[in-house]
Amino acid sequence: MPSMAAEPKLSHTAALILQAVESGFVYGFSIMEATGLPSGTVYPAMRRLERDRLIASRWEKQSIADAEGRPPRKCYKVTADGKATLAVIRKRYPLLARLAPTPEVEHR
Amino acid sequence: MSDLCRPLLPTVCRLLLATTGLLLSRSERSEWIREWRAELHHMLGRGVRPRVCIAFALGSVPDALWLRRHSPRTGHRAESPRRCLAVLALTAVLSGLLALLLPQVRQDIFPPGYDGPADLATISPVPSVVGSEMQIPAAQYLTWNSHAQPELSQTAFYYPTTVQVQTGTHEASWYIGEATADIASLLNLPVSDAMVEVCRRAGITPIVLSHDAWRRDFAANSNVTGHLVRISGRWAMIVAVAPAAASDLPLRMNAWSLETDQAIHKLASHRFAYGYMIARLSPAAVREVSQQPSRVELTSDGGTRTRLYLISLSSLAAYHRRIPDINFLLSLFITCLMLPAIFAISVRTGLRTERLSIRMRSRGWIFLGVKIALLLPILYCGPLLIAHAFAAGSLDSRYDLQTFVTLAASPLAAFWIVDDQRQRCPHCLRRLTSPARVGERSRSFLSFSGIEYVCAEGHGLLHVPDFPTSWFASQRWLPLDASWRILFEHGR
Repeated sequence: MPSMAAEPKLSHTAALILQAVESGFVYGFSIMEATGLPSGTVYPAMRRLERDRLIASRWEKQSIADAEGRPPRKCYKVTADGKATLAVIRKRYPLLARLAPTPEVEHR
Repeated sequence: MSDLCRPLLPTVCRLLLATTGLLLSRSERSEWIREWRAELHHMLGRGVRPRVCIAFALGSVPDALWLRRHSPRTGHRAESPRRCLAVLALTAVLSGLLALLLPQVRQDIFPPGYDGPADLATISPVPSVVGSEMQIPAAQYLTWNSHAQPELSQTAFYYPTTVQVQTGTHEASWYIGEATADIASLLNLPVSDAMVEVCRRAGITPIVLSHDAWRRDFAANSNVTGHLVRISGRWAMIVAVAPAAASDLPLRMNAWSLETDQAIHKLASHRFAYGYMIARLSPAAVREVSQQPSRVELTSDGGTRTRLYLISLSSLAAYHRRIPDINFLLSLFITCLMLPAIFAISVRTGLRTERLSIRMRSRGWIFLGVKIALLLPILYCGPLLIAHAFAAGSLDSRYDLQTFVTLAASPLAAFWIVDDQRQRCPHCLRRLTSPARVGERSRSFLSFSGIEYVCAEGHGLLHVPDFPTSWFASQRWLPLDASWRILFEHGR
């Protein structure tokens, strides 16, 4: 895969979602709330970001979910490539930084 | 959504997710549904409004579609025989349903029975229902008409012409029969002799409109009698509308002009004035004509008797109603004649070096048979729908377009069936679309110049030459034994 930092090709929506994940919104629904985008936009965009290895996903531990009486959720985090891309993309979309960083507690 | 529906909300959303999940492959589906359900559970726990929950669940559709489009297994599924048959079955069902839902198309598929008079017939020199073969010379008609014919109680004659007709602002090409005036009484039409006489004195041609033309060009106007139309620059007046059964007279005329005896005699003086003789039969002849085609002997000058055929109007109606079927069968027959050429076009003549079991061969033949069976309703209903969409006005244009489309589509369908079958793995019937090796055209013609496809299940390789040579004229199937399968495990 070519380095995304050199020539990042991200739409504003994808950049917004990447910024949201970087800001600590690690679950699909949290990203929807943070960005105001509908699920039909957020999830396909996250699939694309994951395919391009800008974010990575994993399932939280079953024991944590059991303790809270809910099914385990899938959480996302920005990869090293994603961070480099975001650094470049922030120059193109300066308003991205205004996305309030109110990180969720990530269960590990 | 009311509070009463709130208890149903989780079930509705889960059902929606489960249904959408069917878009994905089995291996991708479980994790995908797990993720969406976990988020849905989180939403429901926070007491989000039902409408938002439904909107969230509906968002799973674009997500599933994206995953489906970008899944590495999508192409693999597209090659499967089940998918091929499913697409064909869906197209066949949709085209069939659409054809049955549209009344005009349905009438072509299931034509109504004949309910016209049983004693009307056409006198033909040959036992045929094809219009052009049933003509007789006008002069011959006049000779027969001047003598008493015991089996015929009344006769009439018309000479078919094609003219340009202007009805208001609309101009169309019509078939008009220049008819003897007694055609009106033969068809039991209430045409006033005085009205016809007035028309002729004013230099206006009296015409009888066919039922089809009345419905199509005059919107079934009940006050159409007395309307003037321009026929090839001359005025003509509609004096009556023929009953629906008369539309099945030979060549399916749009109208008949009521000509004078002098005009008919003048027409008869022309050597090539051929037209149609129609007759009302005597009760005895009606019984005979029910067994088609029956013979009749007509007396002419000098007591000469000529043997002819009586073709009842019900036979003509049955023929006209079956024209779409005849066109379809004719196109299939022509396609069958073209099959050797279709086989020759493709160099992929199957040369298989392995002996397949009867079960595998049977599967291949069944797959081929089901493909053909599913394509037949598509080839029947599709051209009918196209004909009705683009040539609804004219019956002849509609039949012509249906024939043209069927004739064009049938060989293409046959080619696709043959080509598709030959490019499938004989073991799993998957279409081989993954090239393992692509050859280049060699200057010395010694190196491989075709394409080598590989079965994704690892059953074998298909060598398809780009052009036939003396040492590599046709495609070759190279089976791979079970020891190769380990290489293809990940693709399953």
